[in-house]
Amino acid sequence: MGHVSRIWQVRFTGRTQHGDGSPIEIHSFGEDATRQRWELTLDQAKWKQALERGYSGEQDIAGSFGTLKNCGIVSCHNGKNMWSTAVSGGDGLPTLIATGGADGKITMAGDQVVRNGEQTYRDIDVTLTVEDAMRVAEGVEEDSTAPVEGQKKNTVKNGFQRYAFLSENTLLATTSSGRLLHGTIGEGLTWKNVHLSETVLADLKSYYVVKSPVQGTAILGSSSGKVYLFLEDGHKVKELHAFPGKISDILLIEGAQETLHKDQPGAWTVIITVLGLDHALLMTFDPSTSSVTVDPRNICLSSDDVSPFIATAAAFCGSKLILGSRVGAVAVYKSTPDAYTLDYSRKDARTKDAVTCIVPLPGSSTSFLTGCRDGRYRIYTLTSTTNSATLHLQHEISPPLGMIEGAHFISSSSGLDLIIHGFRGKNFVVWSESTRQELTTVECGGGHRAFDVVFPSSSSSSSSSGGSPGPLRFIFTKASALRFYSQSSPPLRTLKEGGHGRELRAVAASVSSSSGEVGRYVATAAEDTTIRLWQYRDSSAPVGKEKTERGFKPLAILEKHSAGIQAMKWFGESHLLSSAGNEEFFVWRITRLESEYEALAVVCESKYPDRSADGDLRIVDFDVQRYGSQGEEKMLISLALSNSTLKSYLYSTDSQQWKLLAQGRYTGACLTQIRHLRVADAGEDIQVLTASTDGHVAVWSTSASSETETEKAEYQMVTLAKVHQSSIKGLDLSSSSSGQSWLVITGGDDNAVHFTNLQYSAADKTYKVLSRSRVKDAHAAGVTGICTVREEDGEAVEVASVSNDQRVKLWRAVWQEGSEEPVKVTLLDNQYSSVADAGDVEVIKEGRVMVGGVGMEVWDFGV
Amino acid sequence: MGKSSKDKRDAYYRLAKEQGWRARSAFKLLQLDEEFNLFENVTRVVDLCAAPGSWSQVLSRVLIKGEKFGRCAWQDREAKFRQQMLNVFPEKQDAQDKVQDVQATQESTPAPREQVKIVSIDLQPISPLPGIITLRADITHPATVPLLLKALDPDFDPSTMNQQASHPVDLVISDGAPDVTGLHDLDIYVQSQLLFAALNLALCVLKPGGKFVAKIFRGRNVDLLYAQLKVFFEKVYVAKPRSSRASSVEAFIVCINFQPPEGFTANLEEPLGVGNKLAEMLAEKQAKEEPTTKSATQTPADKDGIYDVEVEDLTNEPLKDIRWVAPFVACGDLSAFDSDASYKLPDDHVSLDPVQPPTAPPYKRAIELRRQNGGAYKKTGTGTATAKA
Repeated sequence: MGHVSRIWQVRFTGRTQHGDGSPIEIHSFGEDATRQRWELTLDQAKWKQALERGYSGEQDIAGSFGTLKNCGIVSCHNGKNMWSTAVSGGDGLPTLIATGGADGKITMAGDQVVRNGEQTYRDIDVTLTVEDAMRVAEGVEEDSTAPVEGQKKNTVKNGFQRYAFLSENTLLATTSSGRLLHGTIGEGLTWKNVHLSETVLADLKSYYVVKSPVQGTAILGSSSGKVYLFLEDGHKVKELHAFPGKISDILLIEGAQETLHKDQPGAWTVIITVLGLDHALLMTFDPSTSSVTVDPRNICLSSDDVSPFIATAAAFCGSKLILGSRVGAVAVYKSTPDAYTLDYSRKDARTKDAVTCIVPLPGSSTSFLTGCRDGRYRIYTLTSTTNSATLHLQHEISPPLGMIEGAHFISSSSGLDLIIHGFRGKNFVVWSESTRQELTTVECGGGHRAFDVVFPSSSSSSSSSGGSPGPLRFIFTKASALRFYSQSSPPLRTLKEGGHGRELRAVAASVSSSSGEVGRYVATAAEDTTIRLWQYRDSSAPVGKEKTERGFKPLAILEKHSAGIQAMKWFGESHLLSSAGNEEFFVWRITRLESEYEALAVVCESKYPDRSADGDLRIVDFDVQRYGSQGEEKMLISLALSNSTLKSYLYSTDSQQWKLLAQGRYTGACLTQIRHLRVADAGEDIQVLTASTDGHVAVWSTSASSETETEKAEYQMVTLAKVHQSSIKGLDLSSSSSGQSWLVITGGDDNAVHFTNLQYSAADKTYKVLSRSRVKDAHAAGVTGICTVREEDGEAVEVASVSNDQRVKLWRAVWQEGSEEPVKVTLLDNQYSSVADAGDVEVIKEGRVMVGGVGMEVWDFGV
Repeated sequence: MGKSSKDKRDAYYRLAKEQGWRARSAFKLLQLDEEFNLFENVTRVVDLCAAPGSWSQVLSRVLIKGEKFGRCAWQDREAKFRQQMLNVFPEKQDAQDKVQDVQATQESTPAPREQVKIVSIDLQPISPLPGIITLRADITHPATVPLLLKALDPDFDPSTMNQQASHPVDLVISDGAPDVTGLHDLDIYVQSQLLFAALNLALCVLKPGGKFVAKIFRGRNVDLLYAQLKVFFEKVYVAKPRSSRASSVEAFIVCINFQPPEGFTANLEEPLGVGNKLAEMLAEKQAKEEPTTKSATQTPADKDGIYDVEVEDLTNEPLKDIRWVAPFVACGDLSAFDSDASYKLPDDHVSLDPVQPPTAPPYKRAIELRRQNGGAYKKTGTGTATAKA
């Protein structure tokens, strides 16, 4: 308990007068980006005594005057550090706590954070045993507190078993002795015992399933195979149907009741799974006629695995039934006149963890989301013909939850927000994936317990009123007692969105392969090991009442790297590639979902297959480009590694196969940059340029790029030039349209910016450095990033440079193809940048240059 | 990171253990010396922020024992071989290297110097080193001056309140750095304050013509700091030894030929770095100097064939402060191990223990407490688990 690293601030909060010995509230703020609440209980008499007689080392050791109790940890920021805090309030005034972190986010917590007025829930947190509830409940029979017949007194502890919210304000709780308690939430909880006949009570004893398919309704399944219905209206339990075996589960079908029952308003269908049966059954109830129908078409559960398919979640996607399994598989069933039969199945969970929910994406008839106890959620798209179906994994993300138990969408000001709930460690967590915010954290002891949760208006998914994501009600069992928690608003509100928790190391903008449009998506990668995808909004020409807002809208966060990210590049708009320490290199596939839920779908399609035995090298830089003209899409990927080697691979996005084409080894110095110079079609030479910590640039060539050859080829160094005194940290190329001349612009740790005129001679296949021009004190500190902003083919180039001196400079260099004269350099702009420790600079839109370091900023260098 | 993987990731960490240095930073001082001949004719040295003592160790071995360390101490033989193969070095330089190498290995008889006096100061205790006086004191505190003067000259009488050394020293070095917080502005500021503290102390004890070497973070406004240091020294360089990682903002300021401005007397009661005094001194010095006119003509290429181009500045930004960028010097030649590269070690490589484990680290108390409570995460504890807080 307590902070795991340095504590930056400690503040008294709450009341200021403490004569009565009641605990003193304290908040602490630390480098671990958490805010912690403490209660200090002081033995004031003893303390005063000590003050009077003076402290003595022996007696007055820490802890002898009172106790400090930790009352909760809230993690409010990304990455490390919470730099600033402000606390207000005092006697009679609400406490407000604002924090600001290294991620640039500002959060607000306290007594009066959100008051939307309307659908405010009361804040309630109560714990009850069965006996407590029975004592206060209405309609309890005389003997009901006594043990049920046949049970030995006190041998079985009478505890709560299952819960189901029947509406936002009502719930059903069941006890291990078979009792049903109907709770109503007002100022607190009021209970009413549901009268059960002796036979029902006996049947429901010790085991059953309880679910609420529609508002005000619960269904219960017993071990004898009977299914009962409870309606709040009438407060009665009635037997619906008897199945031939113990009811193992009742699955609710997400978001399909209206389409399934076009002609029967109010009717609902659930899936009943029965222990020992090789099929599941669809059961429909129509309240208008009180009729029950069991679909004669069995759902034939078949599994590729040896173990039987145990269904844990269900949804309809068009006419196909989608089931999730106990071991993480997702299966598509088609309906035939006789039965539902398996069409397609896949398993993406790497562990044997249950699929806990399947939620169709709003506005899409082919895409749905699954939540899994492995802590990830996935989005699949179904493509189907009459005869076959396939599921494509489009998105796979681990939000900060250890187990996902459910997901739903709510409408917010910015569209639809995805809300996920589940468990992390000992806590129940509700997480907004859209705003990256924890909406609640309740210490409940961990997963694997009976619970239910309800969110306002989540039961009707078509709700159009913009709900705030805060309010919720949560009920669960802890140590066989019931705890009910109701919250009106999230404990924390984000006043200003933040970004990365540590220094950005790479910035990249997508380039459309068809239109050439730059910057539809912007990606940033940081020391905090995450990659963030953004949409850069920059409406310089206001149209109508549109806000001329400039900013970044977050689209996705990619968390898979375990080390700080070194380099990142786009391949068109469809793939993003990233490299880091520990030889991590990932190929991410990016798709825009056809749905009302606006988010990018991201899945890690492949990773570097060729790791060394120890796997401890850094992939410092890489380059990627399209390779081969016809047929399948292939990437040429060249890596620069920290052990002084470079490697080129061919990667196929269709087969996800990698093939090593060539490798080379430099002196032993760490390579820092790599770029493709000339990559002709298959069968011809590949030439790359590298830069390294020794300040040299080198050109490498390999001839064996023929795809049929199985032997890997060696890179030969064809030319080498010293440019900087020490490490080359930034590099960009300006190539002439002839494809045979380059101006290589480099930034070094030696404060200099270099312009190197490089030429290729096709006649003898050689490279020649024609001239090297140095701007000696381009910056006052190491130059860490270089990018070309504008080019005039083979004549001039405008280059932006960033440095640790927190200056952004724009240079213009006039050069000439094939000339041995030094370039002419002009300094066009020199501005102070608020981004410390800049790591990368990149053009993200025409004339717009983004600097990434401690924070990020965009410069307008005109058009 | 384990010891063994750190050996691969960090060649100088491994070399330091193999060659008996308390910390890898010893190589930084050795490489600085190779470039600037820091120890030439030097007998009296003050080492500030010395713990764990690797720089003092260098002083002890070079000045007191008279050992010599050539570049062979940190040369990567394989890299050298590959450089020759790939023709990274021109032949001529290579031949010179060979001669130097031979010399370095032949001159193996130690030549201890006479009258050596070395005083090392740190807030943390430093394990004793042969021939070195160690002081535990705060270099930012005025009371440290008499302590230091007394250590340098046993005859010194503190009652005179004199803050100038009667027998000044030839060299003041400081490898001190703050506990970085991650807030760059703060870290750079604290480091510059530490540098000023070292400078203030150096001004009290350095003899005219003496040298000053200190760690500096090359961040925002470092050019201002360079200009201010230039007030006191004829030459100021910023040097980056190969053993200092390129990925770190760390560099070393090497100030040569101490020339205090006329009428200047150092006084720790009124330290430099606070207030406007230094800025005024800088402006005064600037006013005396004749403005340098930049030649518009293109200078010819240097020995490597690189042209230094004159930049036409179109920004017209008025400069508020007097700034100056110290010339950058990379030191430790290219055949030195690269502190950023990963190295493959032989399969039978044995990872050595550090030469000098931390004597009084800030987390010492935490370790003691943990031990008292029965080890890490209470796993090794024999008592009953304590109640959750």
